[in-house]
Amino acid sequence: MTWQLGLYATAILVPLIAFVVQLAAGRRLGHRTAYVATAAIGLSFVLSLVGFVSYFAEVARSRPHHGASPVVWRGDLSWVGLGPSVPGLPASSPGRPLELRLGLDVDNLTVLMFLMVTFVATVVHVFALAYMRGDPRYSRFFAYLSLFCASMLALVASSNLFFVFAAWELVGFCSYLLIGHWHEEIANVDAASKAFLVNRVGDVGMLVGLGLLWANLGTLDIRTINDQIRDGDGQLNVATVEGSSVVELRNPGAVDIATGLPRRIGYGLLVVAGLGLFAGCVGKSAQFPLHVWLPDAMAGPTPVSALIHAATMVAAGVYLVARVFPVFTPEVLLTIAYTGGITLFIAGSIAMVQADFKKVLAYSTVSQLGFMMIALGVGGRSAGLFHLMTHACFKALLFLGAGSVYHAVHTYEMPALGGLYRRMRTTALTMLAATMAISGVPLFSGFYSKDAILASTLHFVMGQPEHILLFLLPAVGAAITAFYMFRLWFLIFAGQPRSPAASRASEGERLLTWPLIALAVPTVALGWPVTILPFFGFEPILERMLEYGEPIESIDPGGVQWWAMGASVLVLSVGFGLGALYYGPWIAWRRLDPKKTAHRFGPIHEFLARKWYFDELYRAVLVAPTLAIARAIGWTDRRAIDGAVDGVAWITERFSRFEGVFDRVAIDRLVGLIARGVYATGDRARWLQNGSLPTYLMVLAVAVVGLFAAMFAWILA
Amino acid sequence: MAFLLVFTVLLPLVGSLILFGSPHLPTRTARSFALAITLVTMALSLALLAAFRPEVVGAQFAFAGSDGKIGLGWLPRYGVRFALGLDGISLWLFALTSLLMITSVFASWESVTERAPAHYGLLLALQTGLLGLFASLDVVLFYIFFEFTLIPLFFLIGLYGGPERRRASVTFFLYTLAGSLLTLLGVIALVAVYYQHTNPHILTFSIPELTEGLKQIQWDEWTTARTWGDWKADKPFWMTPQVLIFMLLFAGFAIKVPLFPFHTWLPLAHVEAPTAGSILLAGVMLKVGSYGFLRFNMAMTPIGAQALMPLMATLSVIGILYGALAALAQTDVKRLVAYSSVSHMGFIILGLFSLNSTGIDGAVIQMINHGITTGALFACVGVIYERYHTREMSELSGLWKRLPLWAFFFILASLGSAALPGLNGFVGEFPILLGMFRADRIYAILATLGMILGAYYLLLMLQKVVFGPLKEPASHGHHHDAHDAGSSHGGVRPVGWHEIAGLTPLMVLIVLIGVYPKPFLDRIKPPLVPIAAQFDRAPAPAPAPTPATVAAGPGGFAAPGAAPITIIGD
Repeated sequence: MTWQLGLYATAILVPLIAFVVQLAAGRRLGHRTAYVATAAIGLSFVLSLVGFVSYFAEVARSRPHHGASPVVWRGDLSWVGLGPSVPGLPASSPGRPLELRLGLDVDNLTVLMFLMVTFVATVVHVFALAYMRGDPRYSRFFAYLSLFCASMLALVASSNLFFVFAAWELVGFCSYLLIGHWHEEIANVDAASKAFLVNRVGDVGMLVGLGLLWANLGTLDIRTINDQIRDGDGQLNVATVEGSSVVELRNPGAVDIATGLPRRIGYGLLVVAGLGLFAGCVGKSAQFPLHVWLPDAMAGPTPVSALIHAATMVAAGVYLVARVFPVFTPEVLLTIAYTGGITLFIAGSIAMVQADFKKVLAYSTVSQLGFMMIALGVGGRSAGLFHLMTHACFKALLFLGAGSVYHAVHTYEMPALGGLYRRMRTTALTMLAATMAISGVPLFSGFYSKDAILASTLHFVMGQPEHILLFLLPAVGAAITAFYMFRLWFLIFAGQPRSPAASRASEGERLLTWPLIALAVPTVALGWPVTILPFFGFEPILERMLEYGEPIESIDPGGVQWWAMGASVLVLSVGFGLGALYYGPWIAWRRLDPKKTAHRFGPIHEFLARKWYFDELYRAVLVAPTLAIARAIGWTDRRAIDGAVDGVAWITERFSRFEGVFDRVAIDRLVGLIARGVYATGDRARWLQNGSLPTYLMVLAVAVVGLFAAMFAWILA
Repeated sequence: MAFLLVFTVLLPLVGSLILFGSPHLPTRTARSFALAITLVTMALSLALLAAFRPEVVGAQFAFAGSDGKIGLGWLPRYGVRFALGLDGISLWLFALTSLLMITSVFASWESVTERAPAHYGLLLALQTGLLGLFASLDVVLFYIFFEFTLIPLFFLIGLYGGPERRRASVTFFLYTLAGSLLTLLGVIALVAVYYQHTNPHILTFSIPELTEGLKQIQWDEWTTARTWGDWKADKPFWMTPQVLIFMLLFAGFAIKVPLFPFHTWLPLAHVEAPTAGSILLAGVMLKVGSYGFLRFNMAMTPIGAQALMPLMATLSVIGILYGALAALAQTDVKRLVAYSSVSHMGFIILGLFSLNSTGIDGAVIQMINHGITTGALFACVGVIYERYHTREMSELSGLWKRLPLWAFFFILASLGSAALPGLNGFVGEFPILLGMFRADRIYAILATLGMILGAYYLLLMLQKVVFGPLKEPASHGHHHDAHDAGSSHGGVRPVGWHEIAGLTPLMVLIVLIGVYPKPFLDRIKPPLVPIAAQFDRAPAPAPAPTPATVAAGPGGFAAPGAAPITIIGD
């Protein structure tokens, strides 16, 4: 175990300890718990920074070249071991009972995720110090944030699927608590429950996936699974055995104990397992068809939206897809790509027409997560992850900016805003930077990551032209993004104030603006190809860092990149142009009237404004039938209870006709004796003596004696 | 230590006799006395826990008979012995009983005002029944305690229950009695089979001896394994002695668990039972069923268990989904928790019948977990019922505001029940599901759907009762203020010390097992190893038939003639 592993374990434990401290000493510390939480995550950030420098210094020393095994710091401890301990069995044999380990696996992805999560979290904590002031559950809020940070960090550092799953559920639970932070309002609790349940649907898929993998591979360790499924060149070793396709596993040490043959897993099973794991990611990253929870999750406080529902937790799905990338067969990857494509389009289209700008940002998050998924699906692993990183920064910035605006005007309704640029210059300018980044304006971080995604999809489509949609969807989606983001910025900051609140607005205290500036730096610069570390070339340094040590080499778009860049600038111009024509800051720019357009395309506008009717659809197709079945079962069960009782009574009544015959039978006397003894104990229980109980007992006794006779006849025969 | 165990088992009975003997004792005295007894019993249980040696496979704290066998000769002619002892499985159920009994006494603290001595006497009598049942190493003793538990519970429901208590108690009594008589038949059959096929004939009722001995008897019919698919065999698959005896044993245990479709007595009994009765019924009595399945069906008729695994798994999965859906439809909180038990017990049986050590270990720890969380949930519901005299979710809302500490307990128990990582339910449910994935993935996939529904009804319950705007039944709002003049909490009295004292240990355990389950699992695992080993697909090398004797150790007994355990393949 290296010291760096201890460093990362500490970085996870510090917020966890802070959480416990806040719970235990919450009364005594009062509002000061917020400082405990902030200091804890700040310390984690410092540790992550040290880890980051140390990791890439070590990489530099080891002089990375293709084929060399990447630098990884690993370590774990056994948490739950089931069954007998069998020393001789290899670690990943299917015969072995389950062992749950708390394991860390720190590689370049973890290092970068840590840096991103702790940075954004620290900034959000600082922002929340001021933003949440005066909240009745101020200290509770920070306690939950600490628990979230610990879980999130554990999630991106865990080495096995069990630990991932546990952390996965925990971040979901923290999200539940924080969405429902103002739980006096039933709508907020509704949103929280909806988020948790929709995520559970995905998690069940994930559980199925990891269950199948464990049952067939005998391990939950991600690196071992990845190594077993792919051969040295990152290919699936598909063979046909007895008419069905199987994937031969690579790990030569592990042969099947029962048969002695090399181990394999059914191809179909691998597909199902991959789809299952992906289902979990669909839930967490709010992809179609499980995207419906994220917009509702905006019911939570805005810092929560920035941290959990924009930068970190919702990106966990994308992270996991990248983590278990080798498990996905081509079919599954295609599913991932199309899921991402559909999601980015649907969410983007909805974002275009929302009036509530927090909702716009929420749908924009869904859409951007779709961009990441499509990149992963077409094989651009590093492109998708690159976008994850840049998106975390600029989307957190956008949400914090939204919080800053809300703090000033107490509304999210864009028709009641406008002209805030002159009153809130810091917020306006930082949000403009984020808007330009997300829209893909050259030199801003988002430009590079979106360009990488477009290049990946273009490369993929050139190989398989029948999937042309996989290029068109993100290209159109990018134009839509630029449109709704500039619409948002223009409507909030440009023009004249459209409400008294907006005309009185003013910038908040420094605790609210400094975080915006802090986030604006990476928002602008994260994509630049400058480097002090041993990665050179034109490519953005961050992407190079993400590419390092990939389990399967990402596609290299090569010359396609220039085409993609052209396309990317083109769609940006279209999106920005439309935004300016409708909502531009000066009248001269506005050549189109959104109201007229909305009127002309009435049904479509309605369809988008109502969010494609997903909520209504799910209520009608899933929730209502489930509840109807539940009610039917509840009713039947009650009938069954009555029926059982009545049935016993009926049998007894029938039987009592023969009562006289058995009256003198010794058994009856015995039963009578017991019954009398029972009555004597509780003389108030007169109701027992209504005559039915002895009869019941006698029926039973007679039946049992008969059965006894039959059994002995059989056994002794 | 053997005396300590017997003393622990019998102490509550002594207490209960004293209480029955003095029916005019004031409520305060009766409850304090009962509390003292339960606390002493708990202390003794903890002493046993401390003295327990985790590495020993067999039962500990048993008397050594003069003839080298476990227990004291009771009816020596018939091989019936007074044998009490604990192994890693029963140890925790034993301790759980002691713990939940304290919670039950505290739950009755304010609510039972009439005939209090008899009430506490019944509780203590029930405790002896349950402690004795888990500690029994002899079939006859087991069965006596098994039936004995019915009587106090019958009166607890029938005398102290809700409006329909009579119907509930009679249904409960008859239903479980009918089943347990069939179980008796099955148990006797096991003894008879063993007697018939040993030479010279050995008549024994010792559970360890039977468990070990039945594996080794030479009777072709006994060792024949037929499965569902073997319809073309000369005999139908169920015509093997193991399957038939399994079915007999099944009758009583399936009703106790309760397994779908034998669960219908449960909601009725729970709704009518007083809080203490519900806590014990759900917390411990249901475990008697799963414990019986483990001790008898799986340990003694493994081939039957293997043959009927599809049936058991199917019923469990149906129970999981059916119970969860039924819970979803309830408007009465207590009924909801009762149906959730049906669902969760389905998970436990599913884990047992995954027939591999992963699932079985998970199921046994889940028995403890379910006892703790469901006991806590029923106690929490009792807190509400005591204050508002209603359990209808439509009449209650936003109680967080009124009873924040209660809300915390209730949420924690619900989350433990919903298997949130870091809390106890997860430690059991995850291995159960993974064990089933190894055994048969179809059942496992269906069971995971229960996790969605499980979260659904629990969140719905929390959403309605705990969160949202405050809403209390009209008659218990400000109207009540006159009564509780000293209370500053608006209408109702805040959570009292006795309620805190009853629930806190459960909450601590919910977190403790969730975070650090090792000490629990370390004791549970060893006795389960031989049970799981029977089901390994590759046949273990046949152990040489050894006479079932006991190697006496200083603090306990090893399993009689325990064969060396070899795990080969899956």
